[in-house]
This record gives sequence, C-alpha cells and structure tokens, in this order.
Amino acid sequence: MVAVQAASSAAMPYATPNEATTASAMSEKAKDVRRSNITAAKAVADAIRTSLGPRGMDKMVRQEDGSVLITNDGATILEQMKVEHPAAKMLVQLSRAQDVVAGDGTTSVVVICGALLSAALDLLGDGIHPSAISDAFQVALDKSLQIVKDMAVPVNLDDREALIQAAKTSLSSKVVSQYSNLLAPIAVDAVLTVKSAPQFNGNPNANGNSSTESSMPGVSATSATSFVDLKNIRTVKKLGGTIDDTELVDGLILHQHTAKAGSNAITRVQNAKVALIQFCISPPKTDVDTSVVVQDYTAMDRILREERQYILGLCKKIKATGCNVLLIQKSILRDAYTDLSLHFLGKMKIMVVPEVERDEAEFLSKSLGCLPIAGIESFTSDKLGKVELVEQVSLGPEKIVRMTGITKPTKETVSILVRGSNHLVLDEAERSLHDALCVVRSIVHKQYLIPGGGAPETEVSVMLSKVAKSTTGMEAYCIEAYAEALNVVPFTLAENAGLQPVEIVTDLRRRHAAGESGAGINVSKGAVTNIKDEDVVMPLLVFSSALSLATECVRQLLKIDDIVLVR
Amino acid sequence: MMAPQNVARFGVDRNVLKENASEQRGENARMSSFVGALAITDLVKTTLGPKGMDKILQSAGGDVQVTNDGATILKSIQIDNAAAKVLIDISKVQDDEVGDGTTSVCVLAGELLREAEKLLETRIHPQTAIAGYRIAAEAAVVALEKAAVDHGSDPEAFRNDLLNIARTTLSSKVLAQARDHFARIAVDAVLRLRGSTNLDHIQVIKKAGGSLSDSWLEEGFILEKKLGVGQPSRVENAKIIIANTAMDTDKVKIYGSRVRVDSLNRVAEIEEAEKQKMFTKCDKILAHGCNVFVNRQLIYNTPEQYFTSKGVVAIEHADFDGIERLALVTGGEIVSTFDDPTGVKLGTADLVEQAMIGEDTVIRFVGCAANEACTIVLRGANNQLLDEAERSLHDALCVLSQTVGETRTVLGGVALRP
Repeated sequence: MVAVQAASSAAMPYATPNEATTASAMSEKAKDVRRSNITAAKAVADAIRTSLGPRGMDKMVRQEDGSVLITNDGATILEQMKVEHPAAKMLVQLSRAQDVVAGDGTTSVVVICGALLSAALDLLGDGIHPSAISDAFQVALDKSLQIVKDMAVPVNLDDREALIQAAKTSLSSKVVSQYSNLLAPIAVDAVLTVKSAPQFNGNPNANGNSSTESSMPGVSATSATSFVDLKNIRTVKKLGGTIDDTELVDGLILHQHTAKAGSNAITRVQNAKVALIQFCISPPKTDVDTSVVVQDYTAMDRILREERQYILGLCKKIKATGCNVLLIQKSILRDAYTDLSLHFLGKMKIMVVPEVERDEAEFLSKSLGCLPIAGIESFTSDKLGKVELVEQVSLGPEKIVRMTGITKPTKETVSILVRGSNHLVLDEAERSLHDALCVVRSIVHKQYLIPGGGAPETEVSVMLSKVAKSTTGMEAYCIEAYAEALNVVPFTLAENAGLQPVEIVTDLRRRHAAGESGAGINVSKGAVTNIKDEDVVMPLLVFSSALSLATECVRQLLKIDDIVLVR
Repeated sequence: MMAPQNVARFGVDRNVLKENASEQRGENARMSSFVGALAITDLVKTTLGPKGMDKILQSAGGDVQVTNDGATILKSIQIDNAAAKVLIDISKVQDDEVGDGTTSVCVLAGELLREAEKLLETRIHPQTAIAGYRIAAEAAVVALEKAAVDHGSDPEAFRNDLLNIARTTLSSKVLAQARDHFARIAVDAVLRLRGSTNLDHIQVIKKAGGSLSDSWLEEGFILEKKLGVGQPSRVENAKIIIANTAMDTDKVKIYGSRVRVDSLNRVAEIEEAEKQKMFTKCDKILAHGCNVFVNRQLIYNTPEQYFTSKGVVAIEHADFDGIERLALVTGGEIVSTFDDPTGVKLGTADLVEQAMIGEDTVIRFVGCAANEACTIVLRGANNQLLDEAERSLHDALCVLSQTVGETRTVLGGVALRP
C-alpha cells in the first residue's frame, strides 16, 4: 500500500493519496496546499515588513550558540531565520537572488511578493484558476516594467552627485544612516575606481536588448556596458574607533601586520619596492623526508654555520634586487620564515609581512602590479611593485599594513577600512556598505535612476489600474489586483514612520493620477512631497529586478498544488 | 497426508512461508494492483498538460524541490505497492528512452487499468482482455503512422517542426513563460549535434541570479574555473593539453622513505634537485607544443609561475566531469605521462578566454574541434527554479534529438485520442 505520513502540524497539511481519493477531494487538497503555501510565505513577508524604509526597525537575531546579530538587511535576516515550510524557504531564496542581482531591495522584494500572494489568494477565493492568475500577472509585470522605464531618468556615470544621492538613499534605512554623508561618497568613489572597460559579461541581454534569432553571445560595440567586479573592492574590518573613522584608502590595506622581530623590525618604508614571494626563507626542507645525520658534535657547529650561510645567501639575493618590502605567502609544508631570517632581513632594512593567503595572491598582484615569485632563482626586479609609502598602523590593539601611492598605470582595486565601536555595529556597517556598493554597481550596469519614497510603486499601481480599466475579462480583474497589491510598499513606509498610512497613500495616489510622477513620501517631513526634488533616488535595476523576481516567485508558488514527502 | 487444520483456506500450508511474508490471491491480488496503480495515476494526473500544476517534493533532510516532471516525482516517493512500482518503472523507461511523456504514460496506463477493471467485472477472462488490448495497441500504432507528417527532407520546415515540438514540450513545464526563447535555444543546441543522440556534448550550467529569459546558448564550452595569476586572459588558436597529474610535489610513494645526509648544504642541493625535476616535467609538457595546460589536480606555485613565464595558460582543479567533457569537446586525450610528445593528441580551440557570468569567473572555449559542443547557461531566481528548468530543458533536448532520428511528427493536444 502507499505509505501514509501523519501530518505533525496543522499549519502544514501534507497528505499522500489514499484509495478513496475522488476528484473533489483532490481539488480540496490542492486548495489546502495552496492556501498553506501562501500563508507560510505571507508569514515570512510580514516578519520583515517592519524593516522597510528609512524608519524601518532592525532585527536582533539570536543564534543557537548564543551569538547575536543585529541587522536591517532583508537577505541577512531571512537567512538567519530557520524556516521549515518549503514555500517560506523559496522566499528566502528570493531575497538572496535579489541580493545577487542588485544588492539592495532585499526587503522590498519579499514584501512585494507577500502582497502579490495575498492578492492571489483573494483571486483564488473568487474562483479564478491559478493559471489564469499566473498569466495575467505576467502581463501585468511586462506592463509595469514598461511604465517604470518610462519614468526613469538616464544618468551619466560622471554625475558623481547623482550617484552619491542614490547611495545615500540606500543607506538611509540602515543603522549607519547618520554616517551616510561619509559612507556614500566612499562607496561611489570605490566603484568608479574599479569600474573596468567593457568586457564579455556573458549576457547578450545585458542592456535589455532583445535577443537576436540565434542568440549569439558577445558584446556589440554599441551595447557595451562597463563592468564592476565587487571582489576588487576589499573591505577590512577593524574593531575600534567609531564609524566616522571609516576611510577609503587609495592603495591597499593588508589584514596582516609585520612580523614581530624585536627592535629590528621595520615598520615604515618609503619608496618601497614590494615583492610577493611564494617560497620560504627558512632552512631547506625537501618533500622527501630528510634527516641530517652527523657523527660528532663539531659537525653540529658546521651545520649551524651552514644554516646561517644559506639563509644569509637568500636574504642577500633578495636585497640585491632592490626589494625592501617582502610579502611572504603562508606555506603548509614548512615555516615561511624563521627568527634568523627575520633578523637578517631587519638588518638589511627590509620590511616583512608574512601570513599572506594563497588565494590573496591574485588580488595583491592586481593591486600592486607585481608578479608572485615562486623561487629565489626567478626573483628579478621586474616582478616588484612600486609603492610610495608602506607603513604599519596601530588601530587600538590591532595592527594593519597600509600601502599608499601605488605606481600603476590603471587602478584596478581599492581598499576600504571600516571601523566601529563594537562587533555588531561593525558587521552591520560592512553589510550596509556592501549594499551601497551594490547600488552604485547597479547604476553602472543600467544607467537609469528612479525616485524613491514609494513613488515608483504608486506610479506603476496607478498606471496599471488605468490599463486594467481598458481591458476586459479575467485578465483585467487580475491586473487590477496586481496594481492594488503594489500599494503595500508606500503603505508600509508610512506605517513604519508612524504616519497615517491611509491618508498618506490616498494623497500619493491622487497626485500620481494627476500626473505628478515624482511624488513620494517624505518621512522626515511626514507628508507627500515631490521626492525627486528631495534627491531621494534609487537605481532602476533594483526596482525592476525586485518586481521581476517577486512575480516569478509568485507564479512558481501558484503552480504548486501538492506537497509530497519523499525519501 | 496433511492434517486439515494445517491447510489454510487458500490451500497453502501456513508453515511454509517465512515470518513476515504474506500472500494474496485471486480477487484480492488484482484489487490491490488496481488500487495501487490508480493511486499513482491520481497523484500525477494534475501535472499533465500546459495548465498542469507543480508539486513540492520535501525530503526528510529539509531539501525542497519543485517539479512538474512525472518521472522525477515518481522516482522520489515512497511506495509499498508492487503494481505501483511497475508503473513507476515504466515512467523511468519512458524517461530513459524518449525523455518526455513520463506523466502521460502513467496516466494512460492507469486509465487502461481502470477500463480493464470494468471489463473484468463483467466476468471477461483476463487473458481475453489482454488479447483485446494487444489488437487495440497495434491498431492504434497504425492509426498514428497514418496521421504522421514527415518533413525530414525539408530543412526549413523541419526546423519549424522542431521549434513547435520544443514549444509543446516546454508548455507544460516551468519554462512555459519563456518558451519561445528556450525552444530556440533547444533547437539550436540539438541541430549542432548533427544527428547524434549523445546529449553529453550539451552542457548545462546553472547560475542563480537574473531571470529565466537571461539564459543563453553559448557556442563553445564553459569551464567553471579561473586562469592562473598573471597569465594572459585570452589565447587564440589554442592547443590544449589535458592532464591528470600531480603538479605539486613528486613524492616517493614508498612510505617511510628517508634520505640521510650529513650537511645542510646537501639538503639544499636536494631541494634544488627536486625543483629541477619539476621544471623538467614542465619542459616535457611544453615540448608537446601546447599553449594551454589543463590539469585535473592542483598546479602549485612553482610550475604555475614557470608556465606563466613561458606564456602558457595553466588551469588547475578542473574536476573529473570538466576534464572528461573538455576532452570530448576539444578532441584531446587525457594524459598522465609526458614522455612521448608525438603520441599525444592535443585538443584545439579557436579561442580560450576568461569571462564573467553574474559574479563568477569562468573560462570559455570557443570554436572547439568537436563543433557539436555547446553550453546552455541557465539563470533564474532561485535554485529550485534552476533545477526544474534544467529538467525541463533536458526533456526538450531528449525529445528533439529523438525527432532528428525519427522525423515523423503528429499533432499534440487531444487530436489523437479518438
């Protein structure tokens, strides 16, 4: 017989088919499953609704091991929540996908998805078939993307002010919002520095161009987009100071500090020539196990002398190339350096920074313009990077190495040093900075801005209603529901700010219907104003991807009519 | 002579069977078969067709899968009934042989059983019913062949046929919203195969992010790895040597072997000798005349730098799957020793370059020797969507490759049932 699993919780009515299943029982089960899915997903959306917007609250997440996390970032909150229901898990994935594409709007996407699901539930209650709802939502999405594109303002990447405004808007909902005047320019400058020339990004539809018949990849001359790889921006977190001490370093910051070698240690070098070595300055060790066997104790003396000679020889060769800063890669097989080698290098006035990781080698060579050196015989001066100043800096109890004034024709990387008074704030500052970097990156990828403050959602909602009125049938009904659902964002923004949501949202809708597409909610003034003039802007990509992903997720959920427990 | 009380009602001595074994006969056996098969049919019935629904498969470990594909659903559920297992098997066979129609075959079998049950109630002997069904099946095949249309000789119309088939197959899956786009991708991929049904040449890569319509067909091969540090990011007219060898150290495989020396300088000499050995190995590799070196295992710093200095691109950690595909696609052999340069077949590609998909770096091999190769890159909102998209695409590809072999087509929907 078919195995039957007992449902443990009433909220998740799983059932497997048994002999007495009739057609109506099947459709009852389908309805139940759909309702359960939508309810679970809505529960997740409601949980993070209060984090939306500049007056949104943060969440404190307590993990099993007792550690605590405070965050406003939707994707982070959802990842930490231990959700069981499969539909809720899909919403968590949705937030992560938005994080990958746009970096910001991770809370908005879940809130919009929750509202759309609510609308879908009502439509199902009216007896409309899920496929009809799904198709109508797709039509609504296509129209919405068109509407929002029409209200978008193209932005030139040279307009630094506009980019800073967008970054500030993204930071305004985070705990570090009071420092947005400091962090926003940092984010913008960092991204503009690492922006590279157009290269193959593997997506022929990168600029929203329609694909050609044979979908040939490759970037044509007119549709090339500059490309930003956020891995080229290194963020170093160091406890201490306050967020005000965060700075963008025109150079490189290393996590590591110089090797401790007593008073001889060099901690500051000017006009530095930096070498990144992947071999070890220590007594020779072979891969085959070796042991040195001597017959008497005078031979011991000889061995010690040989060791000294060997290491001294290595150091002399290094010095001969003019190198005065040495970055040593960690080795698992043997000691990368010994006290003796540090002593010699210190005497030769060479600064030593050990414990470089193997996967950092690429980043370092990109930043410094040096090539990694695998053996002493290939140590030549053309492999060195030139830096104006290398110094070790003490930040409270911790030390880092700062390199500024790197001589390199093109700057490919930057470093940002983030400071904070405690770990929680430090981590949240890094996450917020990451979101701001992503926002600027989104603008680089799709160079359009739209006003924030609930304006795009209301505009789309009002325009879609107009479209729905000019169509007939089921589709019109569903599109109207889609438009209604989008009101959740301005509603939530007003709610979180402590304003009267109904008054504010109706005022907003009236203004948009009258043609003011720039009207939005100004939470500090507590009223509806022309938000475009207030410089509250966000990248088009964030909003359009949020809408597309939310709609795709809703369509996926609507198509599910059964949950089966499997091996 | 068995005592009467030892003979059970159905004529079997109860003591003959093992502890937990049971036996069912006659009416009971047939009833339980029917019921089991019907249960399976009812389970997958709602996924049939373009307006069919999906199912969530939730495993005990918390993994969630969303799928419409009959074979996938049936493969995963826990079933005790023997007849149901038979139905699951035929679904699997349909999947292996053709690729699509896994739900239809189950539903059809279920319905045939239902009709058969009605027949049996009117006291018709099962063998009679079976014979009747056989005659009906032959007649059905004849009718299908009469209704079939063959465009094998006309490439334009044939391509149209393929597009329509792909669209029909995809219309019941999650890819339905972007089905024109994917139909084109599937048809292009299959036509490149030029008649072979070996779908290994078509690689599918999944990258989360973007939406389904951002997926595309890459006319080449994509390896999800990076190039070495400081190496040129583009190589044209690549000659690729594909290896499976340890490039870190040449350890002596005898456990516990040691070398005894009497001075540190000797140790330094041994170290030097080991390095030379590595360089010699690299030289041997370079003697093959290659400019791209792909290794399944790690390529450590020293040889990597050596290759860079000679302008050769080195790619490490390409796993088994990647290596096998690469060999298949570029026409090279996988080598482990390098003593005989002339005996080794190198792979070729017009261009090898580094590219980005979303946030990940990959390596593209364009214009490979086996031009059948291609890669389909799938983008989507979340992992379940990507997995389901891959399954649907696989179904479409199977169907299309079969069609290229057997070029007759018939109308879909309900046109054929009567």
